[in-house]
This record gives sequence, structure tokens and C-alpha cells, in this order.
Amino acid sequence: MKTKILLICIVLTAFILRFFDISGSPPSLYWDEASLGYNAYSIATSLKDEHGEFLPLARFSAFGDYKPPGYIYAASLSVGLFGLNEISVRLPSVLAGTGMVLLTYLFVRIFFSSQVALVAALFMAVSPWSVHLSRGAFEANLAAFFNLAGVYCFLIGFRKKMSFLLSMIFFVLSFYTFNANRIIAPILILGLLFLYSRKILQNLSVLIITCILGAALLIPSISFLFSRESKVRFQEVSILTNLVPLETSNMRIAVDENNWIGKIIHNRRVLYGLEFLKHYADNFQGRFLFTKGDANLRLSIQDMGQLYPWDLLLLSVGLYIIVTKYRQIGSILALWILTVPIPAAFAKETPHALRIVSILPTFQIIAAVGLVFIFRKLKGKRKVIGMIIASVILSFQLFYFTHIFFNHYPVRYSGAWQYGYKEMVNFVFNHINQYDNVFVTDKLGRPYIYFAFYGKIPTDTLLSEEDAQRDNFGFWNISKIGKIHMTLNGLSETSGKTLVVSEPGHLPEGYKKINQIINLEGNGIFDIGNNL
Amino acid sequence: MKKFLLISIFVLGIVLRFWQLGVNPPSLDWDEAAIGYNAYSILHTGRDEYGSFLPLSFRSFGDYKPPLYVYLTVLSVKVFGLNEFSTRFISAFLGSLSLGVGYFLVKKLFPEELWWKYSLFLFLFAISPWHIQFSRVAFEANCALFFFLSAIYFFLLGFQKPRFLFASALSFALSMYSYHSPRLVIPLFLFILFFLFRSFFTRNWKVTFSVVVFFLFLTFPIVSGIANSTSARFGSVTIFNENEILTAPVQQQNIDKRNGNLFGALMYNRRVIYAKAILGGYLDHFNFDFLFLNGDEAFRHHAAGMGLLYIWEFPFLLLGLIFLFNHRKKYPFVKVLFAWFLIAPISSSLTKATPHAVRSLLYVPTHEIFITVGLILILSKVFLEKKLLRYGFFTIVTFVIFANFYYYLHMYWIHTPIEYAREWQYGYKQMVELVASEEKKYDKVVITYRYDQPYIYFLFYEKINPLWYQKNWGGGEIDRFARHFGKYEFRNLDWAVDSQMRNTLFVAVPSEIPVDVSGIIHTVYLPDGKVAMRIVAR
Repeated sequence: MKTKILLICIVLTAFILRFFDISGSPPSLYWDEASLGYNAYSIATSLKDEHGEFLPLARFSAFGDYKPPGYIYAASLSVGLFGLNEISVRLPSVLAGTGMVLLTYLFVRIFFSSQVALVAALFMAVSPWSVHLSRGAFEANLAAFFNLAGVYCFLIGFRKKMSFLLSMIFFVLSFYTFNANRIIAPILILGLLFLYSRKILQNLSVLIITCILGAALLIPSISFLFSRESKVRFQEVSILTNLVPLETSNMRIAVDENNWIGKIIHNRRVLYGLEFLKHYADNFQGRFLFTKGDANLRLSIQDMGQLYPWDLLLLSVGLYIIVTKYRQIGSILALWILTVPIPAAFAKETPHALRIVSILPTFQIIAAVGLVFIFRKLKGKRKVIGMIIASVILSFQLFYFTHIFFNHYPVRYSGAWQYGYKEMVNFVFNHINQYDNVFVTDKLGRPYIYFAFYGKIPTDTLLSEEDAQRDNFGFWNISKIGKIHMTLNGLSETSGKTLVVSEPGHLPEGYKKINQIINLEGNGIFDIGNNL
Repeated sequence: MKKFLLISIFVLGIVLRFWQLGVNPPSLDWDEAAIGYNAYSILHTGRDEYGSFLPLSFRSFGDYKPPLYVYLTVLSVKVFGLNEFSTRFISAFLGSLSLGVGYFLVKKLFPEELWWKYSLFLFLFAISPWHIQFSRVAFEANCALFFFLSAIYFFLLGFQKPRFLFASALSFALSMYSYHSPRLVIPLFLFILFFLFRSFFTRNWKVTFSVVVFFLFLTFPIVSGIANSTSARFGSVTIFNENEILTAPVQQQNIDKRNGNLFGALMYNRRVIYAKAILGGYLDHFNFDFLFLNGDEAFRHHAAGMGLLYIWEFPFLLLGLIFLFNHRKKYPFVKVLFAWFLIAPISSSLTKATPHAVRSLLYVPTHEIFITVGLILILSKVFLEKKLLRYGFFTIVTFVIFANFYYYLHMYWIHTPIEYAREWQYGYKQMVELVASEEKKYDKVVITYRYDQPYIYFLFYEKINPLWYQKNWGGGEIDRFARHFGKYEFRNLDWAVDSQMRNTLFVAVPSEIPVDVSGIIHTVYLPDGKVAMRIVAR
């Protein structure tokens, strides 16, 4: 009973940390969030995506970056219920992050006492990594929820056979939600099957049904996965398109005068392999985990690591305890932790908090084991003192994170979140009736999605009024919606009453500045002018 | 068998450290050249290049080098003359001796084990890329490592015969006279040792007290001289004097203060900022990339394409760490090992360029010990298995170890001298020889500063009389990028102006002078065929 109340409190805390002031920090929607949101709206209202495709299953074209469908369908529910706004776009991520706290408890409960499970859930609830990513519309965070649910259902499958099916469904959902999970899910499933091969063989029939189900669910995505378009995005970020290892390999082979041994040891595959290993290991850098966090301004507050500093101690202790005492959960966690960074390691920017977020809540579980073990070593009075110290440290760290996250982060990094588009778009829509034409600079990237989003333009109107082309890389370029031009080109050939939105100080000659959009730090984002 | 094996491993270690010592790394870097010339100067005049009599820190480039390596090099310069070999000799010599000390130290740490286990350690230490790298260059850190190892060995002996504690104190002190980073690491380490063995020290309080006094007496000159020596060096490399690390936090703090959120303002306290920076720097030393793949950012600190340890060693390192921690009760001295492992990177973490293979060199032997333990653990498990498995495993492990060893040697001897030649200031020696053969015809020689500190190579390779130089170096403060003595002028060229000078010899990097300039009489090439410097006569 007490456990239940505590658990409810923890989950509630988790929800509050993820939901409180959700449209205030992060301060605005960045491109991908706006795109996910509009596509969700489009699905909810017309069953078509922004480009008019009927219920896409394999992928959404979106900007031409081919977004996986999972998050958009999840968001179409919340957008359908609550309308198109920041909160409804981010809601699936908030709920996924909160759900992971509950699942963490359930998962840990399989192996440990409710004490450890509660601590793990608490650590997950206050984890800066999870809180941060749960507050933006990040597909990866939803995929991490599915991933955790998949692992959990697999493990309880030995008691309730049907949950094998459920596990497969969750893994498939993660597959459809985030690109990295297309690699993570199969490896994790194979790994789990291997770890439990003996038990699995006793349940062969269930296994076969599950595999058939999984395969069937993947059918809609197969043609896309093998198409050229799915590779474009991969090549854009891949280390394999980096030419330096290739050049080094050639240079060294030449120095060795093309002898066979040089050709073996300086083979480019060896060098690319080492490169992969470097990027893989980057995800375990101490600086990334404990002091600096992800370098991407959208993915961390920049002032602390992905974990709390004291996790360094708790993880060391917990890791030692698990390795020496708890082989079963140890092997599962090892499989999990080692699998998740594999897809991220193929990309240039590492470490990457988002691409490896499916690694949660493994670190929190290990830290919880560490903390509980330390407390078991303490007796009597010392235990009480220990608890007080631990609570003080945890509260201090939580305060550190929340203080910076709510007070400083949104102001200091509002630019990284494309702050200003909403204000600009609302201004334009409020005044649009007075003008014949509107010209908006595209220097800040993809303005059309914000007009579609905040104008709540119905899909059919958008499709009939937009002027869309695709470039050589397959990216969509929307240059015009109705009388709003998404570029300043052609401005000089236009006559009539015109409203212009430009970068600060770049209003063309003959236009009078009537408004200025500033970001939260007070720097100009847009100048708005007209020729009336 | 036992002796033969030990001796051959030891010989292997010596060969790896001494073979072609003056030839690879391909040239002396400026610190090595400075150490060599200052030793030469001490040998002949008792004074350093600036004329200070037997200094306790060498001013050199203004970096105030610790003294011990220079003084030891006096001996080798005396015997072998002033050249690359004699400059690097002490490092190779002490590096080889370190193998022996390491061997006996491990015997003390883990007494009564089978002999082949100690030999395995000796072998891994002997072929360690990290240790070989710094045993083949005149870097003071390697000298510090030797004394540090000896000090720990004597410290352990001290538990049986307390008088060895004096030898230990002496060795610790010598280590502090060898290099900057032990000056922080050793005091910290000693505090921990006192704490760990407090009952022993309180029981033998008389000896303890006299050892402490002895140690303080030995290190007093360092403490009193710290104002000009270590702190000068520290000031130039530390994170603490960096404005940029505090500017942004102070801005954020001011926002909190303006909003009256004083508790919030505490979060941007500079102690918090520094603590994070130190922790980050410290953790960098445990990066996989640093240890196993690419080493640190300075190319002089590792072979091309190699980290500091062999990549196969990684799983055994983890295994050894966990195993030893698990069995810490069995070996009373293993806590020394853990303290050493955890403290050694600390002074390096206070500096900007982290991770840093030289500043953290002290912890090389601990890695080798953990790896050995991990490997032994697996080997002894496998020995109990079936014959086929046993031999199969043994073959694979041997193959992997030797393949990696071969790769390292190949990279170190074939590719590194070519790829990293410029990092070793390759070309200065050739340039000095060419200039020396031409300079009689000219009134003035102007040499570019683009590759930094060219003057030391003239002192070194022309063996300029120290007595003469001590009187003619100019005196006072020295501009970072300009020096002159005799007919030599060291500064960056301004070709528009300089090309008007007559009867002058110029040494320039390719980017400083037009490609088609007339009067190029010599060109110095790097091993990869690129131009290092051009010598132009006007």
C-alpha cells in the first residue's frame, strides 16, 4: 500500500516535471516539431499528410527528410482532441516520458525488491536526460518508451504468454517511430532470444506466432527501407561518407609500396571500423554523461551532463554490484546498453543524447542499485544521516537542473528553438487583409511550416494554394502559400501593397519598418516593414 | 627457462627503447633541443643558457623546466657528446630501468604468485606503446615516472624495514624535481597513503616523523621556488585563468541577481563552474578514444593510428579492475594501486588540453597491472578446460597480441616518422646545417619563427659556445616571437620590406615568400615530400 502511494507520487512528480510550463521551456517549436504537429493535424482533419498522401505508413515526406510515422499518428490523437498547439504536439512525448517512469518500476520489480524499483523510478522521474527530451516533440523519446515496453513485455512473457505478442508489437512500434530503433529493435530482440534461448525453446509455438506477427507488421515499410530515398538521410549524417579514412588508407598503402601486408592492415575497412568504434565509444564519454551533456543546444541545457554528477559514484558502485552479484539483469542491461549506441555510432555527431535515448532507463536502474546497496551497508543512525545527505544532494541537483532549465535555458538558447516564428506569423496573419502580397525571408529556414501550423491552414487549402517543388536532394521547397511568398526573390517585380519580413536590418529600400520581432534575449530576429 | 625468459623480455624492452634512439622520432622537438643544450651549457660552464648558476628550474623558453632531467643529461652529453642520442639517452635508460623496478614492485604487490605471471606483466610493460613512446624522447615525465615507481617500491619495502621509507621519500622528491605534474600528484598520493596505512604510521610514529621532516626538507626548494617555476608553467596551461570559462556564467548569474533569485545565483558560482571543468578534464583521461584508438590531440604523444594502449587490452583492463577490487582483501597493498590509478590523472585535469598523455604518464604502470591481472584470470580459467579449447584459445590470444604488436611497430617505425615529421619540428637540423655552410658569405641571417623557437636549434647543432652565448643572448625580457644573437635574427618575415635587404640569407616557410622568388639556394623537404623551409639569398 505504502509502495503504491509512493509510486503514485513519483509518477505524479515525473508528470509535473515534464508537463509544467510545457510551452514556456523549451520556448518555442523548432522546425521538426512544427512539421510533426502540422502533419498530425493534417491526418486528424483529412486523413492525408501535408503533401496529400493518404495515411502514409512507411514514412512521411514532411520536408523531404522522411519522418517515421509513429510520432505523427500519436500526435494526431492529441491534436484531434486538444486542437493544434504547442501542448498537443508535445503531449505524446510528455506521456511517453512519464510512462517510462512507471515502466521502470515494473521492469526493475521483476528482478529486485520494490525498494530498488522505487528508487529507480524516482531517478528516472528526475533524470535531466528524460525530462529534457520529454518536453519537446522528440520522436526518439516516444520510441524509447516503446523500446522499454517491448523489453518489459518480453520478460513477463514467461508468465503471461500473450505478452510476447505485446512485446513484438511494442518493438515494431519503436521501429516505426524513430530511425535508430530500426536497428536497435532487431538486435535487442535477437539478443533477448539468445539470452533466454532455453526457456524460449519450450514456448516454440508462441515464438513462431510472434515472429510471424512481427514480420507481417513490417511489410508496409519494406519497400521504403530498400528505396533510394531512405538512404539519402542516412548518407547525410554517416561517417561512411567521410573521405579521410579512405585517403589515409591509400596513403599508407602507397608508402608500403602496395605490398600485401600493407593492403591488409591499412585496408579502408579497418580504418572505417576504428572510426565506428570511436563514435560508438564517444557515447560513453565521462564529459558527456557527467559534466557537459550533448553539444546540441536543443538536446541539453549545456550546463550539466546527461546524468547527475553523483551518478558517477552511484553508477560505479551499482555496476560493480550488478556485475559481481546479479548476472541475470546484468546480462540484459549489458545487451541493452551496448546495443543502443550502434546506430548512433554510424553518424558524425557523437555523442548524441537523442539517438541513444532508448538507453534509458538502464543508467537510472544501475544507479538505484548502487544507492540501495550503499544504504544496506549503513546501520542505525548512520542510515538516517545517509538518507538525509542523499536527499539533500538529490534535491540540490534537481534544483540545479530545474532552475537552469526553466529560468535560463529558454532565454539563452531561444534561437536554437527558432523562437520568433510564432510571433512573426501571428503578426502577419493579423495584418494580412491590408496587403496584396506578403514576402517572408527564408534565411531562417522553412517558414512555410509555421504559417501552416499557426494559421491552421486546412490541408486541402494548403495543397491548392501552395507552390511546391522538390530539389535534387529530395527536399521540398514551398515557395508560396496563397499570397504569402516564402522568399524575398521576386519582391522587386511586385506591385501593390506589400508586407515584407526580413532579417534584422535587411528591409529592402522603400519599405518602412513597422514592427520588430525579438528573441527572449532581446536580439532581433525579424524586421517587418511595408510600402504603404 | 625462467631466467632466460625474464632476461629476453628485459632485453626486448631495452631494444624497443634504444634501437635507433636518435633517428626515430625523426627529429628533436624544441623542448628536447633545449634540454640538450642546457645540459651542454651546464657541463661546460655550470650555468644554463641565460647564465644562471646551477638553477633549480631552467628558464628555457620561459616555461621554467624542472631541473633533474637536464642535470642527468649532463652525464650523457659528457660521454656521448651533444647529439640526439645523448639528449634522449637518460629517458631510454630510465625507461628500461623502470621495467625492472616495475617487475619487483609487482612482486611486492602480489607476493607468492607463479613466476610466469610476473613475466607476463614485464612483457606487457615492455611492449607498452605509451611507455615506449616517452622512453624514446627527452620528456621529463618519463624520468618522473621512474622515480615514482621506485618510490612506491621502497614504500612497500618500508613496511618490513622502515628505513626504506627514507629511500621512498627521496625518490618521491626526485620525481617532483623531474616534472611538474608529480608536484601535485605526489602530495595528494602521500596524504591518501598516510590515511590508508594510518595504523602502521602511528605505531611507528618516530620513523614517520623523521621521514616527513626529511621529505619536507628535500622538497622545500620546490615549495619556496614555486612562485617562479611551476606557477609560471601552471599559469599558462591551467583552466583557472581562463576568462572565457567564467564570462557566460557570470552573465547568467547577473540575471538571477537582478531577479532577486539569490539561491539560483549560487548555481553559477565560480566554484561550481571550476569543479565541473576539473571533473570533465579528469574523466577525459578515461575516454576509450584516448586510451585505445587515437591518443590525445598532440601527435608527438603517440604513434600514427594508435592509442596509448593496445586495443585488445580493453576487456582485460575492465576484468582486471573488477577482479582486483573484488579481491582487495586478499592483497593488502592493492589499495595503493587503486589510489595511484585514481590520483595520477588529477594534475592533468587542472589543465586545458585534456586528456593529456604526458601529464598523466604516471598511471601507465597501473594500466599494465590491471591488464595483466585480467589476462591471467582468463588464461587460468582456460587452462582448466579441454585440450582443444585450451590450445585454440591460446593460439588466438597469442596471434591477436602479436598482430597488434606488429601493427604498432609498423606504424611507429614506418608511418609515424613520415606522417608526423612536422610535429617533431623536422627540418630544423637540415636547415641549420645548410645555413652553417652558407652563412660566411652574408652579413646577416634572418630566420622565420613560424615553426617556433628556431634559435635553440642553432645553439644545439652548431654547438655554440655557451660561455659566449650567455653573454650575448640579449638580456631582459624576451619577446615571444623575436630573438637575435650574432648575425642571426629570428622573427617572422615581412617579405614586402625584407626583400629590399641586401647581403642577407633568409630562411622562410613557403607561405611567407612568393613561389617564384629569385635566389632560392636550398629547399628543406619533409619526409613526405612537402616543403618545410626555403633558404633564400639576397
